[in-house]
Amino acid sequence: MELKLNHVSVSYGRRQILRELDLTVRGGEILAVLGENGSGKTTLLRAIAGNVPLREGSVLWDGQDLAACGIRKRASLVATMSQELTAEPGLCGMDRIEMGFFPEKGLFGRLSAAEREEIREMAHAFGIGHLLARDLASMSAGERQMIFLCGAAVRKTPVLLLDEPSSALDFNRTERLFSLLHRLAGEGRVILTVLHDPTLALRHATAILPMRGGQAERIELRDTADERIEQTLRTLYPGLRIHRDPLFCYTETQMMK
Amino acid sequence: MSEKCDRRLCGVFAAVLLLLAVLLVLSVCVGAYPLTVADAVTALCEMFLPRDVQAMPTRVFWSLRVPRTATALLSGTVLGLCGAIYQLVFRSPLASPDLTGIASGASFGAALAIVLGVGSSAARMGFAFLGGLLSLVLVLLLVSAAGGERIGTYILSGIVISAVADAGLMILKTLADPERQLAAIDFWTMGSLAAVSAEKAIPLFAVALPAVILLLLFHRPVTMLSLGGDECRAMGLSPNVWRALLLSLATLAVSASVSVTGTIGFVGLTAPHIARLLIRRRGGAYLFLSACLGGVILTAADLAARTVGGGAELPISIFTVAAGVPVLVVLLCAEGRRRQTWS
Amino acid sequence: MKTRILAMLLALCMLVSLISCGKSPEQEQGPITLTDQCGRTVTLDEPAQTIVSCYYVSSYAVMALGLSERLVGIENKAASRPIYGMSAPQFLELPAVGTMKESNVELIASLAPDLVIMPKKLAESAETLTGLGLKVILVDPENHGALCEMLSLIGKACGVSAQAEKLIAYYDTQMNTLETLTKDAAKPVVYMGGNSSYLTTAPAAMYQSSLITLAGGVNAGTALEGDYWAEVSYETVLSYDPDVIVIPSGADYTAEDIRNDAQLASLKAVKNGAIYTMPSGIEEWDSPIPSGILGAMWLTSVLHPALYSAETFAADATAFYETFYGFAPDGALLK
Repeated sequence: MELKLNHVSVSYGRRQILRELDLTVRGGEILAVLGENGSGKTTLLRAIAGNVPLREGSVLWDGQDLAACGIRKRASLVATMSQELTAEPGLCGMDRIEMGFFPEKGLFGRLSAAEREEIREMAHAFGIGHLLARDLASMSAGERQMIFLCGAAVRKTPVLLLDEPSSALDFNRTERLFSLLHRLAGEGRVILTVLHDPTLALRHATAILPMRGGQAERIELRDTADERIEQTLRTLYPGLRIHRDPLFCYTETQMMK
Repeated sequence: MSEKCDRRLCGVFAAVLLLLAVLLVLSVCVGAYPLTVADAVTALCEMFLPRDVQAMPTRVFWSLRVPRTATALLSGTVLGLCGAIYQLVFRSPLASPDLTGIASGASFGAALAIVLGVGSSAARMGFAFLGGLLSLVLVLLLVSAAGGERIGTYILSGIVISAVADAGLMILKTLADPERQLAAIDFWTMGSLAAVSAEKAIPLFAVALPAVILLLLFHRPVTMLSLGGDECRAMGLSPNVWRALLLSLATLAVSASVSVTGTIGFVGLTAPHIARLLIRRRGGAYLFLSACLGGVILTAADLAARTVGGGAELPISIFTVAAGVPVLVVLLCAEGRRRQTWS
Repeated sequence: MKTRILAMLLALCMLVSLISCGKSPEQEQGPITLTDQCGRTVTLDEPAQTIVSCYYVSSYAVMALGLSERLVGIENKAASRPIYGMSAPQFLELPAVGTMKESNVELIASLAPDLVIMPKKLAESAETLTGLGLKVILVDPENHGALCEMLSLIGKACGVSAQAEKLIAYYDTQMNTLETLTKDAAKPVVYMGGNSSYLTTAPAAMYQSSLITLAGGVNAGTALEGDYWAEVSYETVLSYDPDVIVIPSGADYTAEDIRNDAQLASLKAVKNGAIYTMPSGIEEWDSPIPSGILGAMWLTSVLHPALYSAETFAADATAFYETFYGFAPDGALLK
């Protein structure tokens, strides 16, 4: 089971964002997408989710062209964690999660008791059990992200896309987020996440995808030498250094303080 | 909060439905013809007797009161429900079915029928109905020509088509003969349930009732659309298809309602807001509540329109405002006080 | 001299015919079948004893046929018709059942009348009332012939056909009289303005045009098309150059307005002061109503004062109202 991008190009008007990108991600992998602002990270996720039209190329899951699947089938295969930073009042956490199940449940299907229980458990595990009944508009952006993540996790979609998930999360929750991601990957899911912090990427991802100028090539983290990784990352983050134990990334200027 | 939420929800619904039931009974029993509750009960018993055998009160009950009450209920329901749907789909608290020019188009259609001298009111109804539908078709065409998926495109197209229909109406008014036709046009645009009969109510029910039922069943897509196009797509719902479908159903229902009653203002705007302030939740319950509140407001307004004037029928829009606005003001103030205690 | 004697003899004839009309209405019995003026068939078991009239022309007819006692419901704004106060003041106390745009069906039903008279415009409400089991006749008195038909219908429905016939006979007599009187006289050109503006006038097809012809005049707007008030420009009016200008009873403007209009100053009628306003203190004599014949008679007295003087008209009109409506009008209202 693999997610494959063949020669994918996306442009907004005349600006080309992704240039003939080729990518393969297998089940069980966590791919961290790194890059500067405007390098096409979000566009990549949107292309996989089907939110932007492709100028050329195709996105395949298990050999099947996702564009030919239809919106609903695609949504049942690919779960996108929403980037909504604000929300209108009127929906509580559980309602929002339930809405996310539309691809599986359709117009009239309801969540089974078992599914509800699973959602509650997941929420409690994240420490957001109390948020299920609270209105989304009264939550912080980070809490909202946790709700979305719960929903996406319980839905068991084969592919999970996250766009800067840790940006609004506190330290504890970030750790819990990644432990969940590891668990999901262990179940065979494909996980792509855009991250802005290379330390997190190195710590948790299976491979990284540094994006530059609309193109990228994935770098496996396990087998590649530290120097090679450092070198690749330096094109994105000038002056970057990697420290192994504990694992963190730094720049020379930072260390000199 | 979930428990408290559910109990509050049940409480609100119970109160609204009770109010509605009381208004329906009043509406059926009150009018220029003296009908007591006893007469109403007799009428119910005599329902299946042939016309000649029925007593006059029974005949008045079935030919006049029941169609009028039923039309008030259905029209109000349609306006309340579609107002809520428009506000969610267009993600704007100011949206109402007028946004896609239904009222303007229907008025234009009716005025055209009056000026052309097409006699019967059935023809007038037909023209008004088609006028309302046509305005939506034009809006959708304009939106697709503009290549638009954004809500702004819909709103702009709606403004364009409304303006065109209003200009057309103005032209018709200048062509109309001032003594007879102009008065008839103005009278139609004020809205009234006085001329409702069983013959007019039946096509209204045939068209609007299925539309209302479908719209209530489709509450899930409505709520999803209220989160925006991208979110919808991410959740597996095609926003363009569903937006067009929901708007078409709503337009069908509202056009049918307007063609029978004329344009009645304000219900489509106030009912959703009152519903929102009462239960603060989106979803099927909200839509249903908004529909019920629309029914309450219009039934109450119609009741007032035929009793307050001492026999004469007053324009019903006066009373839809009178019924809706105080409630809205009270709720807004209560909301304001609630917000203040938080900060 | 000869003409004057003829005129006096004819006036005598009119007086005699009036006296013979002045009896109380007779009653007829048995089921009555009618076809109203919209082609609907209506059957009554017996002559109607209680009537609801939904517009002013049928209310006038009810008065003229001597049926005032039977009216139980009347059109809105009855207080604006002066004749009700003069001939049948009880009308002003009756419940108001609606206007030409909308009728209060429930109120009518609650009055339980034997007969409801409605104008063609309210055909829909008529259907609703028929559906409730009430008897409704639709009338459409667009011209003199239709007016007579309406009177016959109402007469038949209420069992007073004889009275209706007498009224119609009076019309016929008058019309013959007027025709004979003005046959050889020179016919002045008459321009009758519309209600809202004096720049509208009546085409040949309108009732007002036949009124002018009957009174021994020529309608200035004869050549115009259509059956409703036609708009004309100043040039057209100047080209007509009418001998007489007549202002209808329901006009929004006055003779003063016409005299002050600089663009019409060159008209013969304005220079000679031949602008006349139809008297409106009692009824609207320029529309097809039961007393509409008085409009023709008044106009004759205006156009041919030598043949039919204003005093003669006043006497005839007073006799008419006394006979058919049961009251003597104030002389000042007849000018």
